[in-house]
Amino acid sequence: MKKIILFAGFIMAIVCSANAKNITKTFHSTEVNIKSNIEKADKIKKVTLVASGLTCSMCSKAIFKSLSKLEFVDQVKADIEKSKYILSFKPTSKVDLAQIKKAVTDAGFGVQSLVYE
Amino acid sequence: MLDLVCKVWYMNRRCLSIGFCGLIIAIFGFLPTVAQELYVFSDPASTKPARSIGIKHSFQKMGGNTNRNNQYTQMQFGLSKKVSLYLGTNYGGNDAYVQYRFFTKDAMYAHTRLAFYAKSIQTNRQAIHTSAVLLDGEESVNGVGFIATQLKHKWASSLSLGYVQKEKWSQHYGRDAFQYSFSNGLLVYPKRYSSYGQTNVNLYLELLGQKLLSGRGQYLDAAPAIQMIFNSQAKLNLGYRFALLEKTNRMTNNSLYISLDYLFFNALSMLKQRKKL
Repeated sequence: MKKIILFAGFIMAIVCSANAKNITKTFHSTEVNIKSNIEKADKIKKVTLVASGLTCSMCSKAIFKSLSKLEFVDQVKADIEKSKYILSFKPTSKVDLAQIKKAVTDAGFGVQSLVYE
Repeated sequence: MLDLVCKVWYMNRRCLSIGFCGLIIAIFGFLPTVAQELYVFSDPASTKPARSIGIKHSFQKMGGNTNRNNQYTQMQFGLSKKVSLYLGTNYGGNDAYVQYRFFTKDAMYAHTRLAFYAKSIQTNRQAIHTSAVLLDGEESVNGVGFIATQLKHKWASSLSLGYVQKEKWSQHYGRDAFQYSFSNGLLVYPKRYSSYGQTNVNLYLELLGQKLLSGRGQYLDAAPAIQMIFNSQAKLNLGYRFALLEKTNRMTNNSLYISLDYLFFNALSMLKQRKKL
């Protein structure tokens, strides 16, 4: 019994430590990307966002619903396989990238990249 | 119909459960699959989406000496991105479960998450004298614990460690126990996602155990399960739990489990908006 518990804990520890470095790098680069874009937010017409931390369609739908709920968002097109979302906006409203990021984190996931046009 | 499924299952349960475990292990090892952590018998460290409300109804048919059936209904609330609250009733009592996700590291198709949880089960049922701490609503129990979940594209594992204590106990029976689980899950269908309307089929294999702290005894159960997800919002779960190791006495050491969950995204914010209007 003890061996089974120790074995399970050991496997978890190895897997967690192996991924820790790569994950940290990606997350920080996303933070910088969003901060630099916020100042130009009033001219944004389209955003392509890639979310991180998910593999299932239910998780993807949580992000989709969270993004669709934003007042300034007109339409969201999702590519579940690539965790990618293309957002278009209502013509008169001002786009808030911080709110877009918050919508993704509220759904329980991270923002891998965010590109605007 | 449900009775017929139960009868067929119980007549062949040992062969079917061992065969099913073998199938899951084979799929884990050899087929290109995508990991899933929407476990049937335990919770991952990931919390519910913020402002969502989930409803879950489950039916448990206990085997062994007891021929009792349990029905259970639970409301699940995503209070914030880090906190989930579950309130449930099994018609003989109520329970509450709160989970706080305190650590998150996300990457493409991968994440590492850690969470604390606390739960309380309160029941009006007559006391049942068993060594094991019963967690299906047969007795009043409080507990706390820790969950670690690792998802990496083709592999999702979750480990939980906890402490549970009965509110009423006698010296002849156990008072508290160390509770643990080790869960693994994978997606077998579809091979490629194309829309939210696709039905998903997931397989899970979980190990659920308890080691008594005051008094000797322990058990370890294997719990294979199959899950279907409809419209990326509704989950139908079918699982069977049976003992691999049994060194304690409890209500039953095997049970058939069926549950249906439905998740309403953004439901809490919609309720707030309606109140304002």
